[in-house]
Amino acid sequence: MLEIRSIGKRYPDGTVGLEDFTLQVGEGVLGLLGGNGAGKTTLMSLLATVTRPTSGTFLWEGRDGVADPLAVRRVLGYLPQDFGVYEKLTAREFLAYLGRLKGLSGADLSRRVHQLLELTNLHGAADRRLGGFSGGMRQRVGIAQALLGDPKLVIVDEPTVGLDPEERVRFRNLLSEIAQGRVVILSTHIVSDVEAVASSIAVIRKGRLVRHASPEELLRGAAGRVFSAVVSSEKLPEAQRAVHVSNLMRRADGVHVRFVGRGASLPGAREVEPSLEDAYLLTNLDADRPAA
Amino acid sequence: MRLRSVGTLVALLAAFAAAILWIPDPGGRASSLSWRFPDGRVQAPIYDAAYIGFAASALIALLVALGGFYLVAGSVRRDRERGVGVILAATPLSNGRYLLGKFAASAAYLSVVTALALTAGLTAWLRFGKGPFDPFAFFVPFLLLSVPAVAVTAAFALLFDVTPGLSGRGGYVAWFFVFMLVLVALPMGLAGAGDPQGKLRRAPLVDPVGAATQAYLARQTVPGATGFSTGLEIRDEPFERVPWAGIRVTPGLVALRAANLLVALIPLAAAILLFDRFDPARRKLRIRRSRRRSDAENPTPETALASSAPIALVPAAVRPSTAAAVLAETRLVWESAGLLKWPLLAAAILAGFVPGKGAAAVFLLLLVPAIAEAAAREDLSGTRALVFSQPAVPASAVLWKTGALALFVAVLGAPLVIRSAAASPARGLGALAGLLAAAGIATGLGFLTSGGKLFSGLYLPVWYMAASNASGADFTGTLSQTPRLGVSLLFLAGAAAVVAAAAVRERVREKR
Repeated sequence: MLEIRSIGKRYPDGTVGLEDFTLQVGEGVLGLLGGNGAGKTTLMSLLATVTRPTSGTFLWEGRDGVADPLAVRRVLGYLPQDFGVYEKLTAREFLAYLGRLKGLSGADLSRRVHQLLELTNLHGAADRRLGGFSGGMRQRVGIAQALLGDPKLVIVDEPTVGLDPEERVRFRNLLSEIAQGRVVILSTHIVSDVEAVASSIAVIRKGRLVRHASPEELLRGAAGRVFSAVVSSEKLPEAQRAVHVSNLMRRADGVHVRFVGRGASLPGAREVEPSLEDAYLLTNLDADRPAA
Repeated sequence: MRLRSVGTLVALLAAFAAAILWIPDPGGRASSLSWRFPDGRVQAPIYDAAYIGFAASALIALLVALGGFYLVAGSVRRDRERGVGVILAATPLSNGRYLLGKFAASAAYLSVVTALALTAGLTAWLRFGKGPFDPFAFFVPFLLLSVPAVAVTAAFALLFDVTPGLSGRGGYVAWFFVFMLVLVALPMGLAGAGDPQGKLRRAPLVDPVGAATQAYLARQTVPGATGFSTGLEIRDEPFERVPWAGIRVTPGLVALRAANLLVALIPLAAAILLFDRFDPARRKLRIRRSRRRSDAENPTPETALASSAPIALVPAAVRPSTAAAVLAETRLVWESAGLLKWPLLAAAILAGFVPGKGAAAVFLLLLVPAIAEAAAREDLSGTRALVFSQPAVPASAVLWKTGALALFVAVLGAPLVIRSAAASPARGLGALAGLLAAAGIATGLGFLTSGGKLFSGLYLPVWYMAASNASGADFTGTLSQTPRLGVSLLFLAGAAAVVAAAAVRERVREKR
C-alpha cells in the first residue's frame, strides 16, 4: 500500500535528516523505532506531505505522494509530535474546523466530531476552551483529529507522550483496532509501545533504515546475545565499560546487570531470554559496527 | 537575529519614506517647521545641520515610540508560548532580573534601529544640506529626544506583554491610543499646547517621547513669531528660507531629558508587579477576575481516554475543496475573534446605517485585532503540521488566507460598502477596494513576519490619519470628507504587491 523509494531530506544548513530510505509498508501497525534525532519525525512529516523530500519519493497505492500530495492527504490521519491548538476554540470547534479542512461537512461532520469526542472521552469537555485542557487531554484532541476523515493511512508521531500509563494502554488498543484495513505508522522511542501493537518494526538510525522485520524476527536475531550478571557496586563502572548494558537493577545481592553482546563477557553471566528492547539495542550496535 | 527581521527592514524603509515627507525639498511648498510674524511673513529654516538634525530627531523619536513598540512587543509572550518561560521560572532568576534583561534587550535593539534610522536624516543632509556639517548641532537633538523615547517604549512593551488582554492583538490596538493620548496629547496639553497663538507656555516636564519638547524648543528659537507650525505645512507658494540658530542646549534641558528617562521606571515597575512568572494559575486568576469567571471557576475536569467499549468508526464522506477551505478559514477568523466579534459585528452593521463616520471608524479599527494575526496563526499556535496536512488546504496557503480574509472583511463590510455605493458607485468601489486592501496587507505582512505586529503598527497610523480627514490615507473612502477612488485603488495595488511578495517567499520556503 505504501512504498517509500530512496527518500532523502537534506536541510539548507547541510544537515541530513534522512538518507536513501526505502521501505514497503502493508496493512497493520508499523512501529518506527529510533533514538532522538534518528530521523523519525523527518520521515513522518515527509509522508504526511508537510515537508518535501530533497531526493526520492513515496507511493500510496501506486500514486506518487510527492508529485500529488493531495492523493495522500485525502486518506491521511496525522498526529504530529508537537502540535498546538487554538486556545480560544472549544474542542468541538477545533475538531469541526479541521474536519472542514478534511472535506467533511454538514451532518457528517457533526456526527463524526461527536463520535470522536466520545471515543476519546472528551464529550464532557467538548464545549470548553482548549486553553484550559491538560497536556493529556490535548493529546487526545490530537488523536481525535487524526481519525476525523476515516483515514486509510494513519501516521502518529510519539502519540503517547503526555498520556498516563492507563491512557497509554488504551491508546495502544485503539491503534490496534483501527489498524484493520489501514496502514498505521507509529513512531516512538518507547519500545514497549511498539511491542504491544506493531506487526512490523523499522529501526532507523542516523537517517537510514537499519532493519525492517517482524517483532518475532528481531527477537530471534537477538537470541543467544543477551546476558545477565550480578556485580558489586564497586565493580559496576568497570562492568559498564566492558559491556553494553540494557538494564540495571540494584538488589540486596548486588547490581543485576543485563547486557547485550557477542558473549557472556562478565564473570558469572548467564544467557537470558531477549526482550524487544534488547533486540533494538543489538540492531543499533550491529549498525554501528563496520561491515566485515 | 531581530535586526535581520522583516520588521526591522520595514521599519527602516518607513523611516526613510517618512523622512522624505518630513524633510522635503527646501525649494518646494512644504515644511515641517515654519513660523509666522504679525506682519504676515511666513518663514522656514534653511537646511543647515542644526535644522536637519532637529527635524530628523523629532521624527525618529516619534516613530521609534509608535512603531518601535510593535518591533519589541511579545518577547515575554514568546517565552510563554514556546515553553522557555516555565524553564526560566524554575531557575533562581528573579522576576525583576528577568524583566530587566528583557527591557535591556529591547532598549538595545531599539537604540540600534533608531541609530540606523538616523541615516535617513544624514541622507537628507547629503541631498539638501547647506553650510558646514556641525556634528554637535546634528546629533545632540537626536540624543535628547530619542533616548527617553526608546526607554519608555521598551518599558511599555514589557508592561503590555505581561498584562492579560494586552499581550496580543488587543494590545497592538491599545498601544496606538496609549501613544496618542498618554505620550503625545497629555504632555502637549500639560505644556499648554492649546494656546491660540501656538505657543507652549512652559517646558514640558513629563514628555518621554519628546513631542511637546520638540515643539517647545522650536518655538524658543524665534522669539518674535506669533504662529508656529511644527507639523508638515503645505502652502501655495514657497517658504522664505532664513538661517536658523537651532535649539539651545542648556544644562537644564539635558537634566530634563535625563529625568524623562525615569518615566520608563513606572511601566517597568508595573510590569514587575504584574508578572505572573509563567504560572498559569496566577494568570487564570486575573483572567477570571476580568472576564472568564465561569470557565476559570470550573476548570476543565480531567477525564481518561475511556473507550472501554470499542466504537466502530463509520466511513465518512470526504469531499475536500478549496471553497470549503476558504469558508472554514473565514469561519475560524470569526470564532478566533473571541468576545471582540460582537462589538465588531455591531459596528459593521451600524456603519451601514448610522450617519457620520463614527461607526465606520470603529468598525475599521476593530478589524485590526480580528485579522492581524490570521495569516500567521499556524506559526503562532504551532498548528502548521496539523493544518497543512489537510486535503482541502490549497497549494498556496497565502492565496488561501487572502481569500478567507477577503471574504471575512467583504461580508462584515457589506453594510458599509452598500451605503457607500448608494452615495455613488465609485465610493462603493472604493470602500470595497479599501477593505480588500486591508485583508491583503494583513495576509501578506502576516506571512512575511509570522505575526500581526507589523500590520497593526502600519494600519493604525493610516486609520488615524484617515479618521483625521486626511484623504490620502482614507483607504476605504469612508472616513474623510473628500475621498478619492484612486487612493483606495492605490492601497489595493499595494496589497497585491505585499501578497505577491508573501507568495514568492512561500515558494522559496517550500523548496527548502
